[in-house]
Amino acid sequence: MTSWIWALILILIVVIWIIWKYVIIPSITVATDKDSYDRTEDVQIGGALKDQADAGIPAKTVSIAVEDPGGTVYPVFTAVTDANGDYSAVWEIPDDAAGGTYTLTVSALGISASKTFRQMIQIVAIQV
Amino acid sequence: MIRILRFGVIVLSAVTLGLLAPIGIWFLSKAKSLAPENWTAKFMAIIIAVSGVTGGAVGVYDYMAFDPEARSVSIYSVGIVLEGDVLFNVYWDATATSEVTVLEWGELEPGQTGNVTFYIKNEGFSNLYATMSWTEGSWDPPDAFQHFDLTWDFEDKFVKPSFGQRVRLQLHVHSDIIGIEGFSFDIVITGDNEPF
Repeated sequence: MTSWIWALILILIVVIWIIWKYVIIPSITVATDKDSYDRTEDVQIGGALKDQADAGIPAKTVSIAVEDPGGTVYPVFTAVTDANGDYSAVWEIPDDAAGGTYTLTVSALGISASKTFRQMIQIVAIQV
Repeated sequence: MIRILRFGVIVLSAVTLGLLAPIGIWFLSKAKSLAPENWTAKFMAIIIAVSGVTGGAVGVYDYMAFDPEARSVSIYSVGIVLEGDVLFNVYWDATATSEVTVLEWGELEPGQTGNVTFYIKNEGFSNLYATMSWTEGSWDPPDAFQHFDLTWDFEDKFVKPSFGQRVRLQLHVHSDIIGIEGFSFDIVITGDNEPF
């Protein structure tokens, strides 16, 4: 009786260890190079996709969406994580973009993160 | 998937702890009746059953409670139907990864207004204009629609191809509503490439 009890417990422990080892609980971050931009400027976007052990998750597609102050979402674009789980992308602010607070949302593996930045309306000239 | 695996881990952990507990007690107390060589099949079955049921209960609770994008539990639900010639879809997120199939409003008191926000994405090649309505025949109970007002903030807007638009739906419950404790209905969003 004793030996197969220990065998059963050992098997259970091994099964639990295998499940924990291969279950990935991801986290994602997003950042921009500045908090405020002018029209037609490039927004440098970067972040990382990591697992519960803080190890980068490589070769995963990250969807990136930019939402203007009125709720319009520009076409979603993607980036792929490198060997360290890092990703980067560039979004050029259109020359007809509205001023105000924009929301940048990234998602991958069912999780997402957001960051806001401001787009300042650039006044080229004032005629009096 | 993660939630199912969490459930499995919790149940297996509970069973393992259930089997290790008598060994620990035996080790500390030296009670011969708990020595592994004296374990009977019935004793083990009881331990596995009790710890398995306990782990299962905890696992079920964890399964329901664990949700990275948790929303309030709702007893009211609304189906959403998309119609029209333009290819479009509705999503919970701006990146268009989580499709909307059912809208949940939570519990609405008489006089209250519930809000739901989602995104309409134009997946076609022409501009998208859209209208929203409900089908009276889909209401349960059938006459409940008289007690509600449904509005959205998409009026006079259009969505360019590949673009999306954040939309807020508002459901107002009339304060004179009596005798309706639960309801469900379908919202129909009709898309076209010309203004309605």
